[in-house]
Amino acid sequence: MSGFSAWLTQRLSAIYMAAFIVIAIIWALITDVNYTIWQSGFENTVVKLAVLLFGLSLLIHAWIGLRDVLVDYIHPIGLRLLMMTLLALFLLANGFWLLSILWGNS
Amino acid sequence: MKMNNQPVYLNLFKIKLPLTGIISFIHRVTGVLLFLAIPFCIYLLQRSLQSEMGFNDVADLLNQPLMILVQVIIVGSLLYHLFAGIRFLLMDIDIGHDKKSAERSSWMVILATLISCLLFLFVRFF
Repeated sequence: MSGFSAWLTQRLSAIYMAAFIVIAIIWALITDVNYTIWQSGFENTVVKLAVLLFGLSLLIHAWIGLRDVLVDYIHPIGLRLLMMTLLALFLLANGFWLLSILWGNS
Repeated sequence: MKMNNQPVYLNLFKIKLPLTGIISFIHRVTGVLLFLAIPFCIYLLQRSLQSEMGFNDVADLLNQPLMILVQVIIVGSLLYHLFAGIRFLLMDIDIGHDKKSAERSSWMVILATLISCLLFLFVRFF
């Protein structure tokens, strides 16, 4: 992903995450959170999908942001590619981890 | 024409930034910090959903002095990244693009971060 599509994706993911965070903060302020409320909340499919979309937004947002950081500061092309590969693997692993928490049997 | 004095790479120790540049740079630093926080946050989510004991473990963990520091860094980074990000989004749609408004909104980002961090500490610990 490059140029305009990266620019746009970065902003759309940012807007979704900002809205999600504001709603989450409001929810936390008006709710006396305990395990039952927390756990049953995460059984709701709408909540799961909203959290998954947050996770996907976060990973793509982090990918674009960190890739820009690497391009700016890491100049040897081989090292840069290696770090980008590790970054991508790291983000993917976190994505699957989140997926397994939301829909796994653990 | 020779241009000998132009920097050919970004040496962070040789660049003197104006306030708006500092805002942009901290946005980047907090972004990297939040990236590093991802696995820690997913881990806490996993533990908190596993069982009631896991949920209580997470609550206890987050009350340890070191973890309070970590929490303040993560939450502070998140709030800063959010406010500075909103500022950039507004600039994308041509709001506050001139020098004077850009400097004023920079101070607003700093102020909003400080106030919301204090509110977080207040709600969290009192």
